[in-house]
Amino acid sequence: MSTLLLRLAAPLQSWGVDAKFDRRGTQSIPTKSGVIGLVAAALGRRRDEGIDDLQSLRFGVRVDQAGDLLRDYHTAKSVKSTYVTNRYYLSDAVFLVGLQGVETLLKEIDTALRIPTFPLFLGRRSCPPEGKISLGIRTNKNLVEALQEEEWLISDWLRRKEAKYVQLPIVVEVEKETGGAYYIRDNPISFDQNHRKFGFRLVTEIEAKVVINNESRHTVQGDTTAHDPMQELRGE
Amino acid sequence: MYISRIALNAKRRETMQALVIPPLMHGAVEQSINGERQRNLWRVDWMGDKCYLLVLSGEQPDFTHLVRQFGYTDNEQGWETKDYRTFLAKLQEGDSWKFRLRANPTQSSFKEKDEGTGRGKVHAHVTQEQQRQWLIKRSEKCGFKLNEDNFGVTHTQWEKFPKSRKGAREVIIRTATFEGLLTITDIEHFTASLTTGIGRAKAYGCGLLTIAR
Repeated sequence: MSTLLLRLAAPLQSWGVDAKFDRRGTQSIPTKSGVIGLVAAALGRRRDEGIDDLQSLRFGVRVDQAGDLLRDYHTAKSVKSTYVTNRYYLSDAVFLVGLQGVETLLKEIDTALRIPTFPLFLGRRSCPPEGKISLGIRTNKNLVEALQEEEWLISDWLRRKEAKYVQLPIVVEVEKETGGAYYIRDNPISFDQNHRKFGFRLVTEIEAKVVINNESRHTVQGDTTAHDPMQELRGE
Repeated sequence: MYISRIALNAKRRETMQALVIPPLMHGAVEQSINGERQRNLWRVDWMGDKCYLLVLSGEQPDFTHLVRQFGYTDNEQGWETKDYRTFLAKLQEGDSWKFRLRANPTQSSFKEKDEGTGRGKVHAHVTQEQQRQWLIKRSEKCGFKLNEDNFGVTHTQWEKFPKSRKGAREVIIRTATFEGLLTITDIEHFTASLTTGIGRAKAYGCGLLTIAR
């Protein structure tokens, strides 16, 4: 079992689960359906083609930078009247996504993400990704190991704005119902526009990755010294 | 004249408070010294990750209460006190010493007058060069000589804290820590600056000059 790591960063991302009608929300982390959809687009699969192999990949997310929730107050004109919709986005977020599976499939995805067939976007058509998406395959590493071991993905100047001690939350898929696990309905079964279908999947939050951020400006610049005024008085 | 050093436990809540609000530390120092009220000098020094309070007092101090408040309560002897007179008596003109001074370099304005006192309004020296010049200018009166390339400002910062527990008034000072090499030129003046301090804000942990080999 190996793990393919992806970096999802962009000015805007939007990961809707229950996004229907006028209010289009976003989850705080990427959804499996969103990412599998992105991978399928890279591979050049049409919407009515099967995605069973992609859906069986074990999916996990690490939050490297949570980003801010942005509301887009949006007016649209229908035939009858003007109506209002609210669309939500995550701005300036950075996520590390892991896909665990057999290496041959992961290699295929890795190549496809570098030369995608269809344009890629993060959750919504208006959210193009920033930088390279694929970080490559971590051979013989399971999902949890790969997410725990990867370096913090944000740039130095952003690091300086963050706290000295940072914990990056990690959410991964699990098979059995254990303490703390919960269901989320973003498991893609079919993207076919005639009968789109999403199932439930079980996820849990595991121990966060801890980063001691030495770049942080919150580090107190010490006024330390080697000067010891008592040393001369020792003999008395 | 006594010099004492107390190990502070910087992880304690009370100590953290006193480290950022100098009047609290000053109060604790004053409480530890009996006898007629004098100008006692103090300074907080960090050596690596260890934090020490250095106190120069006229009378023999008793820091039992201060240690209980800010120090490590588990070890018996939380502080050491030494007689400073014998050390001062050994100093000689022409000797060179390493020094450390945390001070509040300021200058009073000719144009602006302070409303309360009618005297020139006091401004802080902001840049390291101003602070260095400030100390060079004072050094002659203080009985020592500095060499331009042998000393410098190791740390400088603005400090802002309430003047008292009740009052809304805030004190804003800029402190500078000097370290380097000095040469004693006038023993009488030098002893005076060692024992009475240099510059303003002496109640806020500034002005104590110390020397070491």
